[in-house]
Amino acid sequence: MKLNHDIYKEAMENVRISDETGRELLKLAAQKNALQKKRFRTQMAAAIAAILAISLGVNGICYAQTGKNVWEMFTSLYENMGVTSDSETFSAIAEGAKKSGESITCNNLKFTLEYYFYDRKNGEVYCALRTDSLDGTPLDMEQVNQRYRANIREGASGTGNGDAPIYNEAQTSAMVYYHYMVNAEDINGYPQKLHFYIVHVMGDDSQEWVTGATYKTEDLGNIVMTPTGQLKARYADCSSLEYCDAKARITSGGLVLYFNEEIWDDEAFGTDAFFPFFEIIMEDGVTYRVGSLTACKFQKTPLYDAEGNLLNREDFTPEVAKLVEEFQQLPSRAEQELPENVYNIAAGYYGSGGNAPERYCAYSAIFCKYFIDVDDIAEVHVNGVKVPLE
Amino acid sequence: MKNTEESRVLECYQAYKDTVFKLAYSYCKDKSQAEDAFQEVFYNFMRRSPQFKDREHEKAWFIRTTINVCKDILKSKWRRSVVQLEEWDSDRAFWQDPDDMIEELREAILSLPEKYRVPIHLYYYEEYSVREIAHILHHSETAVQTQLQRGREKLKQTMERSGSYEAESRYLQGSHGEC
Repeated sequence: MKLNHDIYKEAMENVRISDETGRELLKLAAQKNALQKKRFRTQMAAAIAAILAISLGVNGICYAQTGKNVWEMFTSLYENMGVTSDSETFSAIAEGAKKSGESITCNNLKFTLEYYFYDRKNGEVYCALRTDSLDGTPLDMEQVNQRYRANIREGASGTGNGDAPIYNEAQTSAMVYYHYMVNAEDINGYPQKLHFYIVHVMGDDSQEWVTGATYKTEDLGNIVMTPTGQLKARYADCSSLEYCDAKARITSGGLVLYFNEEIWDDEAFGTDAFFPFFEIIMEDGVTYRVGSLTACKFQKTPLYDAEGNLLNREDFTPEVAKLVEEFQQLPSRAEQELPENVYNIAAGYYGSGGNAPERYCAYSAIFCKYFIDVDDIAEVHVNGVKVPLE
Repeated sequence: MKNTEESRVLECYQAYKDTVFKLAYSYCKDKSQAEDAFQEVFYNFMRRSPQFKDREHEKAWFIRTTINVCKDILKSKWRRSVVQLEEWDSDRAFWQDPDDMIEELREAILSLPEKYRVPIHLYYYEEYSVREIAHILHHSETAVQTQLQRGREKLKQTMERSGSYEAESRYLQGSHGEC
C-alpha cells in the first residue's frame, strides 16, 4: 500500500484554523509575552536600581546592607560574577528562594545563609552566604575561603565564587554565591533536608587542599535547607556508555550523570576521564561543551595515557580531537582561558561523588557562566555520538 | 524595532499557521488542545526571538517547537482529564468532510499511534524526506523509515477493518510520494 501525498493532504485539508481564531490566539500570545516581559523587567529594574543606589561612588558592585530583598541579592551576585542569566531561570531562582538567616559563628567570623534555592527534584542548590567580621576587622575573603569552606555533606559538586565576593564599604561583611549539583545519596530521589556545613580547615598549607593531600577539618555546624521550587530539566539517554544505565539530567545550571556499581571495580575509577564529553547543541546552533575536555583545559586530567595514547580518542569526532590537541598545547592555566565565542565552552567544574547505598556513583558538571534554556536544547552528543533526548 | 518584531511575527504567522495547527491537531487529536499549542508556539517565538540561518531552519524550528509544546500539553494530567466527549463530537463535526472516504481516511490517520502519526504527517503533508524527518525528530533515519512503514501497515489494517478498503484503495495508492 502506498499512501499518496495529495490524498493525505486532501484528508487533512479541512483540519485548519480560521484566520480569525489564529489572530485571536496570536493576540493572546502577544499579551502573555508582554506580561512576562513586564514582570521580569519590573523586578530586575527594581533590583538593579537598588544596587546602583547603594553602589554610588564606590568602585564595582558593592555589598548591599542586610534587608535587601532576594531579587537584589541574586541580581548583584550574578552581575558581580558576569554570569549570563536567562530570565526564566533567574526568575525561578529569585522567586523560589527561601530566606534562611541562620548563622554559624567561629572565632571572629559569623557565616549567615541568607537565601537558598533547593530544587529537590533535580538535586540542585543555589545560595547566598554572608560572612561578617565580628570585631570590625576588614575581611580578606581569599584567606577566609582557605580556612573555612561551605559544603553540602549529602554529596555535592559545588562552585562557590570565593574569588568574587561582594564587600560592604568597610569590608567587614561579604556576600558569596554558591551553586551545587547534589550528586547522590539516592539515585531515585534527593533528601527532604539538605545540610549546608561550614567546615574549618586546620593547618597552614592551603595547597594541601589543592593537591588533595590530607588535612584536618572540623565541622562548625550546619544549616538545614528544605525543598523550594524546581527548575526545568531534560534527560539524555547515556545507556551506550559503559557502567551507565541512567539518564543524564540536564538543568539550566548543569548536569548530573549516574554510573552503576560496576564502575567501582574499574581500576581507573575516580579519574575525571569517567565524565564523558558532552556537547549540548541549542536550537540556534550554539554548542555548549562540557566534560573531559574542560578538565583538560584545567589540567585536572592527563590527556594521554601511559602509552601516550589520547584518552577516548577513538570516541572523539575529528573536530573534538583537534580541540583536545589545541588544549594540550596551551602552556599555562591562564592562557587556557579560551575565547568562549570561538568554542562556546560551558566552562564547568565537575567532579565525582555519591557513595550511595546502592553504590551508584554520580558525576556532575556546572555551567559556570551560563544558564542555558533547556527548552531550546536541540541535540545532545556524548563522546561525539548523538544520544536520544527527552 | 517593535514594528520589525511585529511584522516578523505576522510574517511567520502567515507562513506557518497551517503547518503548526495541522501538526498540533495531528499530535493532540483535539481542537482546543491544538489551539492551545498554536498559541504557545507563537508565544515561544515572541519570547525568544530566535534567529535562523534560512527558511528551512525557521520552518524546522516551528515544527520542533510544536512537537515539544504538544508533548507538554499531553503530559499534563489536568489536560488529560478535561477532554470531554462533547468536545470530541464537536471536533468531528467541525472537520466533517463531505467525502465520506476522505473522512474515514482522516480518522484512520488520526487513530494511528503518535509515534507513527507524526512522521507520517511530516512525510506526506510537509513533504520532508526521511533524512529531514530524522533530523527534526532527533531519530535515526532507520527508525523513521520503520515508523513510516509500520504506520502505513497499521493504516491499511484500520482501513481493512472498516470494511471499505477495496473502495478506498484509490486513496491509498499512487506513484507520487511513495517511500
